[in-house]
Amino acid sequence: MTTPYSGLPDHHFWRRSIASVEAHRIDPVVRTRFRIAPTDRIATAGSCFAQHIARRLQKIGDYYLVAEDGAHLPEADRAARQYGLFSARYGNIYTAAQLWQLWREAYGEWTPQETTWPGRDGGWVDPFRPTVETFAEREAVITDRAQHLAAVRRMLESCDILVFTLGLTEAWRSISDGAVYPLAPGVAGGTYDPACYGFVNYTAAEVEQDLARFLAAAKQRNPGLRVILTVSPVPLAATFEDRSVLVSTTYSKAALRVAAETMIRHYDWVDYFPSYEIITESPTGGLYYGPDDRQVNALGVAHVMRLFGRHYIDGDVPPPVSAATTADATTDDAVICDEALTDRWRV
Amino acid sequence: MTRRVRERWILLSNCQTLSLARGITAVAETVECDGCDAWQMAERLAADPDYFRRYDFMLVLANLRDFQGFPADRLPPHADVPCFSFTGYHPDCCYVTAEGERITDGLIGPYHSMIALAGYKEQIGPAATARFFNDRLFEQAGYYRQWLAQRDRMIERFGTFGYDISGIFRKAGRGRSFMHTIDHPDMMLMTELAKVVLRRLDRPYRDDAPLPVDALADMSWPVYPEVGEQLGVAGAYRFRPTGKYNALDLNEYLEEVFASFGRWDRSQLRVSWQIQPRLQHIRQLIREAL
Repeated sequence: MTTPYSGLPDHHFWRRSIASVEAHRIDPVVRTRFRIAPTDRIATAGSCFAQHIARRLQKIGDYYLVAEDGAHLPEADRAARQYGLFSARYGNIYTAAQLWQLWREAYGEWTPQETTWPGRDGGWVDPFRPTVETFAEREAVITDRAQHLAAVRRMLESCDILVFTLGLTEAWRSISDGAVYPLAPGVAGGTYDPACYGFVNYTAAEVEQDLARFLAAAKQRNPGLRVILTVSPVPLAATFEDRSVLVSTTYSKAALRVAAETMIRHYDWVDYFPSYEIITESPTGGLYYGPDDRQVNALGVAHVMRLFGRHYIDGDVPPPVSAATTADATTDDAVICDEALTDRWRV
Repeated sequence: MTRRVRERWILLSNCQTLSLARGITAVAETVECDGCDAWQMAERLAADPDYFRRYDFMLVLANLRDFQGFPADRLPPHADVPCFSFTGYHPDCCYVTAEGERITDGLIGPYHSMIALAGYKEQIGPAATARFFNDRLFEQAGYYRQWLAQRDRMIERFGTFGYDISGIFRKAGRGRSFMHTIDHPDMMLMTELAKVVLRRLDRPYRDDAPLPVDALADMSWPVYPEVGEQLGVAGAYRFRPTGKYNALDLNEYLEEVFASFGRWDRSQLRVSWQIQPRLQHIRQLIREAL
C-alpha cells in the first residue's frame, strides 16, 4: 500500500537524512533558488552572526561588496571603527523593523527626531549604530550619518545578492516618533528614560510586515536583487520580558523563522539558508557553541560556510583560508556582539 | 547473588588486542575476553601447544592467518575480525622507513608528518616547512577527502566479514576524533566495535557499561585545526612526544623532526608504496609554491 510519502527522496525523512549521517556531514540544504555567479556582488547585514558570514565571504573570493570601506583612513583604524564589518557601516541590525527604518531613512522617507546620543564615556554616538564610533562633536555624528546613508543607498542599488540575518524580535524604540534602536538607551550611549523610550517584542506578523516592506522597496530600486535570509543561531544575551532568557530566545527565533518562511513563500527571488538549523538543532546540538553556550564557534561557522559555498557558489571556489589558522577554535572574539553589552551593563 | 558463568574468549590481534578484548569484556553480558598479541603467540604456543583451545571461542585478526606459526589446526570455534585503521582525522600522519627499517623512535614513536618529510626532502628547513601546514595544501593533497573515503573503506572491509559498522562513526565521532593515531582507535570506538562483534555473534551486550581504561592512549597525533574544521572537531597544532605531557607547537615539532631525520641520507627516507604518490604530490606542491 502506498502513502503520500512513498518514494520521496531521503531528505524528507529524519532517519535517512539526519539520524544516519555524521554530525559534520549534516546538510539540510536540498536546493537553492539561485546560484552565486563569479561576477555577483554580495552584501551582508543583520545580527552579529552575519559578521561570520561577511568574514568568510571575504576569504573565498571577490564577491563581497563593501560600499563604505573607510578608504580615507589608515587600515588599522578601519576595523576599530567597524568599516568592512558589514557592507556598510550600520553595525548590527537586529530587527526587521530596524532594517525597514534604515531603508526609509536612506531614501528620505523618514527622519528621526533624535539624531545623537551622549556616549557612555563621553563624546557623542549615533543612536542607530552606537558602537560604531564615538564622535567628539555632535555635528560629526550627523555628518557621518549622511555619508553612511549614501553608502547604504549605493550598497542596496549595486548589490546582486543581499544576505540578511534576522537576529531579534525584542527592541527599544522612541515613544515620540517610533524610532527603533539596536540597543536600549543607556547600554552604549543615551540615557534611559521610561517616559521617552519603550520596550517592544515584535510578533511574527510584525516582523513579516517590516521585512516584506523592505524587500518590496529594495527590489523596486534594484530589480536584479536576490536575497538570502538566515536566522541567527545566537541566543538572546538578555530579555526584557519577565521570563527566562531561554524562553524568550525560543520565541524570538521561532517568530523570525516564521517570518523568513513567509517571505520565501511570497517572493521567488528570496531564499532561506538554514544556518540556524545547522547550528541549533539536535543533530549538532551543542557541538557548535562556545563555552558560554551562546557564541557560535569556528567549527559551526565552518560547517555553515562549507554548505553555503557548496550550494550557492558557482564553479571552483578558491579554498578559504581557514580561520582555524588564526583564531581559537572555540570562540571568535573578533565578532562584535553589541547585544551582549545589554548584559554587561545590567547593574 | 551468584555471578553468571561467562564464556571464555581469546582475541589474537595486533596492537589493538588489549583495547578490543577489554571492550568486549566490558559490554558483553556472557563473555570474558582475554587477549594475545601476535608477537606473544609463539611464546604462548611453545609453553602450551593447545593454548588457544583452552578457550571457548576465538577471535582472530584476519591477516594474522598468514603469520608464521599460526596454529590453523589447533583453534577452538572461531571468527575472523579485521583491523580498524583510519587516517581521516590524521591524513598527514604516516610511517617512515630509513634504509628499509621503520623509524619507530621518532618524536611520536613510529608516527611522522608527511609534510615534514616532504619539506625535509626538499631541503627547505623547518620554518619554511611550517608554512605549508595550511588549508590550501591540505585541500590540494586530498587531506579533506580522506574521512569519508576511509569511512566507506572501513564499512566495506568489516562488511566483508559480516560486521555492520556503519553506525559507529556517528556516535564515536560526534564532535571528537575517535582515533589517537592512524591505527590506534580510542576506547569509545573500540567499545562500539566490541558491540558490533557481539551482535554479529549473537551474544548479548549492554549499552550502559562504563568505558574501560584506554590501552592505546599513550601516543596521539594532533588533529590539525584546518582538518578539524572540516570534521566538526576542535584541532590544535600540539604534538605530544611519546612519554611526555608537555606538547610541542608546530615549529618546535619541526625543528626536532628535522634534526632527527638528519641521521639518515635523505634519499633513504621513504614511505610505503601505497602512499608514495601522495608524498610526491606534496613535494611537487611545495616546489611549485617556492
